[in-house]
Amino acid sequence: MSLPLRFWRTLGSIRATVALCFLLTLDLALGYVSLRANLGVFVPLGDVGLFDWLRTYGVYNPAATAWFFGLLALLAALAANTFACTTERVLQILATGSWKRDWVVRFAPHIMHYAVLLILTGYVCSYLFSTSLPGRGLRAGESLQLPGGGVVTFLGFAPEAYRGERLAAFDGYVLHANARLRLDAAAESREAALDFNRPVRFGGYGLYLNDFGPRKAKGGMRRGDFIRITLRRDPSAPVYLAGLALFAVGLGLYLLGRGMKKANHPCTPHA
Amino acid sequence: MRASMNEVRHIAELSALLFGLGAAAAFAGRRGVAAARMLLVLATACGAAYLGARYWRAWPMTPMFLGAAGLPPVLGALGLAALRRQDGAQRLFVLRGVLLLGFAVGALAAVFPKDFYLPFIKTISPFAHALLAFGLLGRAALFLCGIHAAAALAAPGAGEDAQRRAFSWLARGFAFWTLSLFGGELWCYAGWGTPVVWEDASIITAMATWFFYVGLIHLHLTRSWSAPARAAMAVAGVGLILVLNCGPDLGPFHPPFSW
Repeated sequence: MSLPLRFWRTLGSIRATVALCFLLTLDLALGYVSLRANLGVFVPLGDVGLFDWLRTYGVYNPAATAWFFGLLALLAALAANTFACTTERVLQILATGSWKRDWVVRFAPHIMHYAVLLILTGYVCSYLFSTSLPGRGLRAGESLQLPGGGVVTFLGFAPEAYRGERLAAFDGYVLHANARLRLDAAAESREAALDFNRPVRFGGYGLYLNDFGPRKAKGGMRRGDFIRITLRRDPSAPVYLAGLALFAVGLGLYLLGRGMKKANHPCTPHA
Repeated sequence: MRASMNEVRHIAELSALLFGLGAAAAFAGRRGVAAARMLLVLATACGAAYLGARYWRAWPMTPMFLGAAGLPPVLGALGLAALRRQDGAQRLFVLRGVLLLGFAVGALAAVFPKDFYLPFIKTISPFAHALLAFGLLGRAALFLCGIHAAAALAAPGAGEDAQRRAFSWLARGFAFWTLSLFGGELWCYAGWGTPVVWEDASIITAMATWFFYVGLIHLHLTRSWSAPARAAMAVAGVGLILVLNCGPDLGPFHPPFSW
C-alpha cells in the first residue's frame, strides 16, 4: 500500500472517529465547567468574531480557554476524518454499482456525514466572516444609519400583552413587542414589525431585538418607548442552515430505509 | 383556581414517591411485580400532570429547567411502551430499571427543585419548545438504551436480544437528541442570529452528550468493540446524561413535602 493511501485510510479510520468523539465529550464537559466560571470571556465571541476573539480573550485567558482551543483542533480532526471515511465509501459504492439497490439505505449515512461537514464549515465561516453591531438603542422616532446605506426608523410598538392569572407576575406585561420599523433605502421603503425570535432583514443585515421598554403594556406611543437591537450580517448562515436541513433529511432517510434493524456502518474499519 | 408552585411541586414529589414504591415492589416477588406495573402507570400519570401543570402556567413561554423534573413521566411512558413488546426476565429487568431511574431522577428533582424561575419571553418560539420536548424524549430513550444494555450485561444468555433492543433505543434517542439540538440551533439563529449563544452553558453539555452517542453509534454499527464493552458504554451514557444534562437543571436543597 502506498504511503498516501495509507495516510488516507488512517485519516478515515473508524477507530479515530470513535476516539475523537469521546475526546470531544471530555473536552466539552471540561468546557462546561470553564464556561460557567468564565462566562464573560466567552460572551464576546459572538460579536467580535473567532479570529479577533482568539488573539485577545483566547490568548490572554489560557486557563479558561484551553478547552476551546482543544475543541477547535478536535473538530478539525473530526472533519478530516469524516471527509476521508465517507468519501472513500461513497467512491466504493459508486464504483461497484451497488447503490442501484437500496440507494436510500446506502447513501443516507453519507448524507448525514456531508451535512456535518457543511454545518462545521458554516459555523467556522460564520465566526470568521460575520459582522455584528451589537447594542444599538433607539427611542421612538429616532433613526439609525446602516453601514452600507439604508436607514432604520423606530416608529413605536404594537404590543400584545399577557392577560391572565396563570403567571400573576406577568399580568399586563408585553409578550410580543412588535416594534414597528420604517426601512428606507434607495431602492425600497417599507414598514416591518420586529420582535423576539422574529428578525427583520434589511440592507443585507439581520436586525435582532435584544430588549425593549417599557415592558408593561399601555396604549399609544410614548416618549419613553425604546428598543435595543443588534445588526448582524452573516453570509454563512445559509450554509449551516442547509447543513441542518440536509442532516435531518439524511437521518429521516436512514431511519426510514433501515428500520433501525439491519444497520451496517458505511465506513469499514481500516486501522 | 390558581395553584401555587409549592402545590404543583407536590405532584412531582408524589410521582417520585410512586416510582420509589414501584421500584421496591418490583423486587418483592410475583405479586409485587403486578403492583409495580400499576405503580409505574400511576407515577407516570402523576409526572405527566406535573409536566402539564408547568406547561399550563408558562404557556405560551417554555417552562424553565425541566430537564430533570420533566424526565420521569417521559421515561415512564416510553418504558410502558417498551414493556408491551417484551416478556420474561428481560421485561422484569426493564420494569425495575425504569422504576429505579424514574425514582432516582424524580427524587433528585424533588429534593433539589429549580422551578422557581419565571420563564423568559424569548422562549415563545416553537424552536424553544422543540428543544425541550425532543430533549426529554432523547434523554428517556437513551435511558432505555442504557437499561437494555444493562440487561444484556446482566443476562449474557439473552444478551443478543437485549443488545438489539438497546441499539433500537439508541437510534431513537440519538434522533430525538439531534432534533433537540437542531431546535436549539434554529432558536439561536432566530433569536440572536448566532450559531451558539454562549450565555447558556447547557448547549455545551448537550453537544458533549451528542458526541458521546455519535461515538457509541459508530461502535455499535461497526462492532469494533466487544458486545459487553459496547453495553458498558451505553450504561455509562446514563450516568453521563444524569451529570451533564440533568445536573444543571437541579437547584438548591428543599425538603420535599414541605410548605
